Amino acid sequence: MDIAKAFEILSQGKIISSNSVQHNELSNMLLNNAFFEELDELITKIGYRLIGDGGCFYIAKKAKLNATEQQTFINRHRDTIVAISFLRQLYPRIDRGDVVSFVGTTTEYINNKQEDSSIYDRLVYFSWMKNKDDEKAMLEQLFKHLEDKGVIEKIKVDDTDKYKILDSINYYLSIVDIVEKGEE
Amino acid sequence: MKHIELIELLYKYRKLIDTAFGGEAIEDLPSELVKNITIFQKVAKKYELSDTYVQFANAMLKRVDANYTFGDYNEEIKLLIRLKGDYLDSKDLSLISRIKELVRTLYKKIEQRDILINARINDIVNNNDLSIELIIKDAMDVDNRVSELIEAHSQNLKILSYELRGLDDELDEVLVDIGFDMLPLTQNIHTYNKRLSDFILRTKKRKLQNKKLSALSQKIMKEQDYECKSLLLSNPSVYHHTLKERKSANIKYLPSSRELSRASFVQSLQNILDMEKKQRISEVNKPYEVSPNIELKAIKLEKIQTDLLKDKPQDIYSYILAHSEILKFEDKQLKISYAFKTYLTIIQNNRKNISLNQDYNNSNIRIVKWI
Repeated sequence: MDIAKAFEILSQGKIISSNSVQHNELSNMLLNNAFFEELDELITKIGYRLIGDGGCFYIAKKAKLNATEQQTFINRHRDTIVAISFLRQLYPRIDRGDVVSFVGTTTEYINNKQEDSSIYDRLVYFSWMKNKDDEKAMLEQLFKHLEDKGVIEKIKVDDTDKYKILDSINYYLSIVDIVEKGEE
Repeated sequence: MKHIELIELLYKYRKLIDTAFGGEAIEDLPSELVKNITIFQKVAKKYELSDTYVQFANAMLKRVDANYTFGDYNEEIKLLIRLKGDYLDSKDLSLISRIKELVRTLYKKIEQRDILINARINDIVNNNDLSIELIIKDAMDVDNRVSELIEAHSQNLKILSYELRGLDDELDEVLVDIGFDMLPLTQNIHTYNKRLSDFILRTKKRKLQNKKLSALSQKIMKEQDYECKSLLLSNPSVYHHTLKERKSANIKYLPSSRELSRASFVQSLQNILDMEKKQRISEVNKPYEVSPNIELKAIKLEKIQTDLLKDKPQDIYSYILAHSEILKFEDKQLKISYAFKTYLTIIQNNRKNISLNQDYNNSNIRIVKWI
């Protein structure tokens, strides 16, 4: 792992969590101050910033965002917040480092829906599928989204059931904490 | 009531019973729940779940009542002090062996209690099935109990380490050994207390966080999340720049120092720098020229002829030369040339209407008169 490889991964728009197994090498490198500073210096030169906070690392843009970027920026954050709130509604105590199972989530979802139909609204909001009756497919989408956004990762490459919650969940939860501060 | 009816009743009022199970007292109950069965009991004008139901539920949920599990062993301590007093009075050695036996049993019980507390805390911390409210309640119960135990435990230690010393050498030896064995257990009690307090704090925080998370996602779904939008937009430079994820990098990267230090890289770089400069063959640039405007002029022969008919001049050539059609030409030579051509044409075409004169005019041209 060198600066170039680190830059290549981060510039794909990923949030790297320090408890990620997939990006274990990169996160270890980023925990090294000298490496972090060197990469930050490089990234700063091209108008971005390297941020390391709460166990996750990502690239932020220094300059003002243009209209398209703003739209993507807002939507991505909102979608992920809704997806996390879906998970927390099913598993109120789930947190980074915990393991979540897809099959288990499906069962939990069905149980929860009988008591409180608002969980279905959250799933529907999230899904861009036309068939809103195919809840399993929508759940699959939700997991895929969380995986793409670096909030969860497969425990084993060939295991499509068990996922680990990554540190980046804290990044989104901290946004929620700031926004909803007035209601404590 | 049949058993199946009881189950149906429990299911019908599941939310109410669950609220009560969380420790809340209920003011008003549906009559069905009061009449025939004793799920609830009335305590000070409010309804609480009956102990029999709570015991049943706890047993089914493998949730142990904190009060039931942990003893403070006050009775054993009291007995030890009484035996000590008896021994001092009677010097009966059989009492010493009873004390020894009792001290051993007490230690075993304390060790067993430690295992139980540890298991109970692990249950609480790792139990993901119970609701967050119930978990917090359990943890607080156990935490309070452990805090009480800290006090009781230090009393126990005092008795074992000081009060019973000096009665008998063998007993002292046992007490010293047990004192050493008790050290980690004492340490443990304090650790449990801290662990539970941390856990309660964390869980309460999470409960609040869930409330916030739920509120915000409701707002997002209703498109009313103005605060969230303005927070993100106010300072995007601290938030994750959301690029479109791709397998290949969006931004081309710079070569690493390792790549730069490669001999082959330097070689190829040198080759580029040493390359012979080639003359660039450029096209000859022709400036674009604007062509001058050419004014095309012609004589209206008919107009001259009409005028001739009207004016009937004495000298046709002089008349044509002064005619407006000829005056259009600026150049003098052109005027003469066109005037002469017109003169000849008119004479050719109008033989009958002219008479030739013998004389020549100023331009040395025969004077021709229009008749």
